Formats: sequence, structure tokens, C-alpha cells
Amino acid sequence: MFPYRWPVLIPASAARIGDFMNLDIQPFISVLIVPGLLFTSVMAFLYAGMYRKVRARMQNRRGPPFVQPFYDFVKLLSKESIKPEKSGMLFTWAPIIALASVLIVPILFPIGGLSFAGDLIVVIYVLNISAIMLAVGGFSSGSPFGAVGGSREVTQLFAYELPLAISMVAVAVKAGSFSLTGIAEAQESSGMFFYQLPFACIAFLSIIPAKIGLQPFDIPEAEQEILGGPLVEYSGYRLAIFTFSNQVKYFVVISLAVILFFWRNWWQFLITGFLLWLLFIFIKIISARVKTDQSFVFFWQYMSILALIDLVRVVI
Amino acid sequence: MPEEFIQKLKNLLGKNLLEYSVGRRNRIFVKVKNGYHREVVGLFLEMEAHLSVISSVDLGEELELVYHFEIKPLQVCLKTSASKAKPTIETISDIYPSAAWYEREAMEMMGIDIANHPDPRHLFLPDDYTEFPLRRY
Amino acid sequence: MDMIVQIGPQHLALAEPERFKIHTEGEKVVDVEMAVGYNHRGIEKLAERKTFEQDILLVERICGICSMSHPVAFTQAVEDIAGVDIPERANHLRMIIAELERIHSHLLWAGIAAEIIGIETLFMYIWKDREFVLDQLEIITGNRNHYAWNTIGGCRKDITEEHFPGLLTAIEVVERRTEFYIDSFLRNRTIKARLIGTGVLPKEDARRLCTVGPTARASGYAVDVRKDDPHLAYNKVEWEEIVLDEGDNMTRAKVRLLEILESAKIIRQAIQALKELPEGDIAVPVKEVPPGESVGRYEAPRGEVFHYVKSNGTFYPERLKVRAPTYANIQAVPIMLLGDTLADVPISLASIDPCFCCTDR
Repeated sequence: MFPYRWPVLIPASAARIGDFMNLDIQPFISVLIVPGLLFTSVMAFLYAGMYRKVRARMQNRRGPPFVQPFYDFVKLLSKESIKPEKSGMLFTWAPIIALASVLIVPILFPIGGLSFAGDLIVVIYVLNISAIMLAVGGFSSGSPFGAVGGSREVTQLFAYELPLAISMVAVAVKAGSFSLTGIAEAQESSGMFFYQLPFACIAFLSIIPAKIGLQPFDIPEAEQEILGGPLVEYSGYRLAIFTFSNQVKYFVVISLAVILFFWRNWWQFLITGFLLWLLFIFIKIISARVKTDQSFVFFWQYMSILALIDLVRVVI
Repeated sequence: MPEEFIQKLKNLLGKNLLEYSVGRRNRIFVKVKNGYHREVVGLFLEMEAHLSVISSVDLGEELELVYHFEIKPLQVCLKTSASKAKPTIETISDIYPSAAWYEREAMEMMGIDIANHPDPRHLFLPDDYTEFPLRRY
Repeated sequence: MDMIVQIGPQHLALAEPERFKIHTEGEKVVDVEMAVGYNHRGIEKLAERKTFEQDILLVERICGICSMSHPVAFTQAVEDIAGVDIPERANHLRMIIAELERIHSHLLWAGIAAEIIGIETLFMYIWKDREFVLDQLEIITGNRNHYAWNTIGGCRKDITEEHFPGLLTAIEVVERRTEFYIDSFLRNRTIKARLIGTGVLPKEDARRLCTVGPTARASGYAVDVRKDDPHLAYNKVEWEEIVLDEGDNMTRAKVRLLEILESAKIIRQAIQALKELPEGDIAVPVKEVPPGESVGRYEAPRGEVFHYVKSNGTFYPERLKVRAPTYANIQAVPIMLLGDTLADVPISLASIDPCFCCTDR
């Protein structure tokens, strides 16, 4: 069918402009339209809208319309953003860096993105930056609740980094390449990885709630306990950027899971993404929030060992 | 049952038991002289009484503290009073720790001076409030 | 990292304002300082300025949901002073509304506990089922929360034949749903991880600090005014007192949910008794209250409500002393919080079912 590298919607006129100006237009399209800024923003709002609607329906409510996250974003931009006196310069830069870092990842997706060898490592580090920026935002807000939330975020980052890294390395060794395109190509030839590396798949899927902030592992953003954690002092456009970066993270991390374990081609990528997201919404709805020490035990003892089994199996 | 209870108190206190009455549904009201209430409370502790609350009443000439105990199946109200000029009553918070907060409220609302109280701060009223709201002037 | 985290006066986990200063080392709680009095309205002083009938409405408004607790305790004390026995029918009527209030209050608490530990789905489900009980209360008394059901000498309205079928259906639905919730609380792994073993109150401390209500009964200290000091018609119906042993947050949840089932039993038997009693007076007229004093006690959903009323023969009471159950239980809170992590503080605080406006009056 269509070669997976090229997105379907490339406008012919843009290609002709590129030919006319003797310029390679494809990087601009990849970064700005598909799978870059425009596509990711649309998918992020879609995922967030699905999240609120499905959650409401399962709780016997009607829920907001699907485009509500977009309305909330626009509304927040129009509000005053108050900066606490005790906060520093990082208070403004933390959300911006978080959003920028999390928007880099979709550019590397194998659906028309710019891929290069070793971009899996870049993905790991760049996603870490966004988590650290949440903690930095909490620490720099000058409030004890923000500080507690920030420290919880960092602790949780320690907890889930280990199974995340081990399972990603297992996939990369199996595919013989550290680039997302290489992993996708390997799955196209030898079949999806989730039944070949089941333990690594389970370990990776288990860290997703921790990474994107859903129950049972949404400890840093616990609203009822520490009044919203790192985001407690944020308002206005800074909160809009932070919230949007969280929503983009929903799409990015789920898509990463699909590329690593469930890839067939680009339209199955979209469908599997939605199905996987539905699964995580369901898990969120039926779970309470566990404590930091309990999540630590879960990730370091159980999930790391699970991922290690697969790493060993693949290496040997 | 109420009669035996009153008899026990009479044996303990003698003439320091000033007055007593028995109401409906096992309620007993006992008044003792100021300074002897701690012995009675000690006796109640051995009987495994449950302290419900400590009320303060303004009797005009005197300020009265009423300790409400439950000694199943009786409800005993132990009263002791001191004059308004010098309203000093000894604390029972070493015998019943939960009495500490009830006595704080009596101190701030009625102006009774509870001797040897471990934490004599205001409880409900603001810290700089100097009047005694529940007194009847 | 030593830190002082202040919970309150405004906080998402508390419905009412009080200040708790939690001293933490890392995430572990080492000290708790409590300051109350943010809701003090001077109800006791105000009660001396109003007549006895006006005082019934005044004490009803001490708290939003303790709406049978304070009026029944107050009217019982005044009826004792006046030396009247209220009719049998009035006792059963009061008991039905009291138990309906206990059911809806325990369901409210269960929903809030679920919300605080993060499982908001259970919160939505429980509060939806609570609406059945509130609908029945509205049909019978006219209001969802302040019922104005009592007067000195009895009740103001009657529960007649036409109310019984709706009431019995609602009780049945609530019973079935409560059994599902008990199952959820006891089997959901994440709920168990949060509730079991946290906020422990040992039996010795519960007895020494004279705690009341489900907080005490979950630690093995068996106090229940309905058994110890039988009022209304509790000694005429068969029901069990729920006393469990462990004293942690899960046990307090269990005690409250099991009490809902007992309340449903009581209401059924009371309806049966009402059908057999002849339709008659529901109140005895009380013209004046002689000088005297008495004590009214009532088992509210949160514990023992205590009213001490002293009358001097005029239309106005000489002294009214109100003690709400949270006033007794809040002194046990530091013991529950010490040694646990900061994440357990909101749920341990909520597990005594605090009603701070009752405490402050």
C-alpha cells in the first residue's frame, strides 16, 4: 500500500512549491504539520477530550463536549497569570521547556517524521526533561505544597526510569536498531513485538500511568492531598502551557508504546493508539491512588525484574 | 443502683458531698465541695467512667463546673463551684486527658481559673479576646 | 527535609475550616498542632436569648447534616425537665428519621473517603445512591437536610400509609448497593493499599481519650448511646452494635458501611411497629418548663451528641451546653497521624468523619 514513511495528507501544492524553490520542503512539513505541531496538537486535544468524556460516561454523568480541552486552553490564555513573589525565573520557563521537550518526540515518529539512528535514546532523555520540568515548576513556585509535589515527582521518576529503560533497551536489541524507524521496520518484517517480548511489554505498559499522571500512579498531581502538587501556584497562560504539555504527553507516550510493541502500519498505529488509551482510562477509573513507597516497591521490585527477564532472553 | 452509688459517694466524701438528686432515666446530679472533686474523679476512673464533657455554669454568686460522666448505666453530673471573686478549680486533665480541651473552653468562656492546666490557651475565641462571653452580668 | 505543611483553614480535603500544622521529616509526620475555632458562632450564648421552641430550630442549624442529632438531644433534655413521656408513635417516628439520617450521612462519608484516596468513580456512584435516601426524606419531611421534625413533646408530622411503600423500596435499593460498596472497599487492591494499616488508633488510647462513635467502635471500645442509654425506641427493635478491633482507616470504613445495613433493619422494624400502633397523637403539649436540669444524649452518625439544659422556670433556658462528637474525637487525631506519611493525613483526618461546625458551635 502506501509507503509508511510518507503521510497521506501531503498537499501536492506544497511539494510543487518545494520543487519550484529548489528546497526540500519535507522537514518543514514534518515539524510543523504531520507529525509535528499541528497533528500532535489535534491528537492531544482529541485524547484529552476522549479522556474526560469516557470518564464522565462511566461515572453516570454526561461529561463535557469532546472539544472542551481546546476551550479550556483558550480560556486559560485569557486569564491573568499571577507569579508568586517568592518564585524565580524558572517559574515561567519550566512550562515552556516542558512543552518544547515533549513536542520534539512526535517529530521522530515513523509516520513521516525525521528519524535518525539512536533517536530512541533522545526520546528517553527528552521525556525525562518534561518530567523534571514539572518538578522544577513545583520547587520554584515558593509554596510548600509545590515543593512536596516536586519532590514526589522526582522520586517517582527514579522509580519508573529503571523498568522503562530496561524494556526499551530490550526492544532495541531485538530490533537491532536504536531508532524508531528501525524498530518499526523490524516489526513490519518479523511481526509485532508484544507477543515476542511480553514481559517487556507489560513492564512498559505499567509505567505509562506513572509517566502521564493517571491513577493508580498519579501521586505528584494528587489534588486532594497536596492541592494539586507542582501546579498549585500556576494560573493563566503558564498553566495553559503546562496543561497542554501534559495532554501532549498522553498522546506521545501512548504512541511510543504502540511504536515499540504494536506497530504494523500508520493507520493501525492510530487505531491501536486509541484502543490503548481507552484501556488506560479504564484502569484509571477503577483505581485509587497508591502511595510513593508502594509505587517504588512495585516498579523496582516487580516491573524491573519482569523487564530484565526479557532483556536477558533477547541478549542470549 | 442510683442509691448504692450515692451511698458509695457518701462513704468516700462524708460531709464534703454537699447535695445530690436523682432525675429520670438514671440521671444523677451530685455536688461536692471545691477541692474534693479530684478524689471522686479518681474513683470514677477506677469504675471505668467515660467523660462526656465539662460544662460551666454561672450561678450568679459562684461559677460552677459540671463534669458529665457515664458509668454504665448511670449518667452522673458531678458539680463543684467556686466564688466569682476567686474562681480557682483544680484540673483533672492528668486523670482524664480529654478534659484538657473542655477545661480550656471553660477558662475562656466563663473565666474560671483552672489550676495546673498544661495548656491554658484560648480554644475557640481569638487569642486577644479578654472578656468572658458566657457570664451573665 | 523538615517541613511544616499546613492543612487548612482552606483545603480540598476538609469540608470545613480548621488549621492543622503538620511537622514532617521527609514524608513522615512527627508532630501535629491543631487550632480550632474558625466556625465559632456563639450558639450557646444565643440559646439563652431564645425560647425553648426557638431553640429547637437554633440547635438544628448548628450543623448541616446533623439535623436530627441536636434537636432530638435537646428536646429529650427538655422533656426530662418537664417530666413528660412522649407518645409511643412519636418515638418510632423520630427513630425512622434518625436512622434515615444515619444512612445518608454514612454514605456521604464513604463517598468523600473514596474521593480523597483518588477513586472518584466510587464517589460518584455512592452519592448517586444517596439521592434515593434524600428523596425519601424530602417526601416525608419536606426538606433534604433541615427537617424540623421535632417539637417539645413529640413530632410535628406523621408518616402515614402512603409513605411506606416508597420508603421500603428505597431501603431495599440502598441495602443492595451498600453490600456492593462493602465488597468494593474490601476487595479493590488499590483501596486496600491506602486504607489498611494507616491511621491506627489503639484501643487503650480510644478508651483513655474517651472517643465516641464509629471511631471508638472501630478500635474495640464499645460505646453506643443507643445501647447504653436507650432512648427513642431502640430497645424495642432488634439490631446489633458493630464493634471491630483493628482501629485503622479500613476498619472505620467497615463499621460505617455495616451500620448502614443495621439502620435499614431498624427502619423496617419501626415501619412494622408503626403499622400496628393506632393512629393517635404524635405530640404531648408542654405548656411550661419547670426549674430543673437534665442531660440529653443521642447517637449521631458521628458519635454521641450531648446536650445539658438548665432551666429556671422562665420561657428561656438558663444554660445550654452542646458537645458534638467531633469535639471528643478530634483529640485522638494526633495519635492517628503520628508515624504515618503525609499522604495518609487527609484520609486519616477524614476517617473520624469530622464536623467542625458542630465542634465550634
